Amino acid sequence: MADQGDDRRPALRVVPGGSGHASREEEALLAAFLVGDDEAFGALVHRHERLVLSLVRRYARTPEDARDLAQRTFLRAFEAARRALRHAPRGAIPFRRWLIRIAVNLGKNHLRDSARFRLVSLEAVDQDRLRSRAEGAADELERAERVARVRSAVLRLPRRQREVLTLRIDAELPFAEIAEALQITENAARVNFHHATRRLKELVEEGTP
Amino acid sequence: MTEACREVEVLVSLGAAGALEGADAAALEAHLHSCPACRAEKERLAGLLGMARLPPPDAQEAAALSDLCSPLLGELRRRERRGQVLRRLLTGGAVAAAVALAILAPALLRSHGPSLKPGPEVASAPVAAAPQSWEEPDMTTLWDESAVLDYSSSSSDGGVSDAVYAAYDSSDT
Repeated sequence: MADQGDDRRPALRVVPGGSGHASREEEALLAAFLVGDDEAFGALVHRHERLVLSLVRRYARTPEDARDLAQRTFLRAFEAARRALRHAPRGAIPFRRWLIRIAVNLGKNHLRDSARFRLVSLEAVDQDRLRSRAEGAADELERAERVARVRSAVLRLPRRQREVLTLRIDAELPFAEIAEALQITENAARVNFHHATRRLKELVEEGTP
Repeated sequence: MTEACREVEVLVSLGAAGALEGADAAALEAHLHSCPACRAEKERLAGLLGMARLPPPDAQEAAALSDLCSPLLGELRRRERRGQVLRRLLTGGAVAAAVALAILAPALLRSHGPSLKPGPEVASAPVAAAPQSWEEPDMTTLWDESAVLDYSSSSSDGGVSDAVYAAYDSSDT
């Protein structure tokens, strides 16, 4: 029985996104899920859900939005893995990199769609929270407004700068992995981060009364 | 801003994000030790990035984001089944079309395709028999019958005589 299971298991290779040990585990989990192992699916989702949620929260207006974006990210990545396996059974599956790219792209699209309604991210919710805490405290209120301005400015950064900045400060990815996910050099990722911080500072100062 | 400050500009931004280690971190620290302006800039950027970071999810948000797994798995398995059904339908349709083509192709070729043997109507056509019954026409008769086209009696102004018109009219009726 175990032998039959092993025979059915697809021979795929997950491209490393972390340590070699983690990659091999991920490879085994993805292979198991693709032949019907639901527990392997659960393990894979738990392994990456924090990363995906940290990326999509930036672009979501509400927690429900964030949940929806995260689910769509996983769905697309698993579908892509299944298709890749069908067309190239021994091909590499850069699953974690796909998740990052898909999350960033879905977030960007969501932001574009939301812009029509002048809606911004979870910062709006957070701002309300901070406002309520800051009732009667002028300093706290001023800080809450400044925080809201800064987070709004993040969403107005040029696309590449915003991607690098959010991958660093939201997902806390090392620049090597950011570069890999965005298919740029590590040096380009670092320089983009630098320009993002400078631009962010300018945008906040422009918006300060 | 000095030349030395310009050289560590990128490192200041990266240092503000806590993204430096090794030689880069040491180089920045060495510069900051002697440059209050860059030290202040690093502090400002660190504060800015601190405000740009999202706070951790509160209880309400954490609850909304929990248990992604079950609905995802249900949706993926549904899509998988739908894909299998669609693939089966497409395969079945392709096989059915191939079988139908194999059955109908000879009949279609017989009725619409080019024929290698002449059909009965072709064999009995007068054209086919013509070479056997053809006789050389009598040249005198042929000449007389075409005399209506004789322009020898045309008028000097290039017109056609009444006699020619009359001959043409009588042969036409």
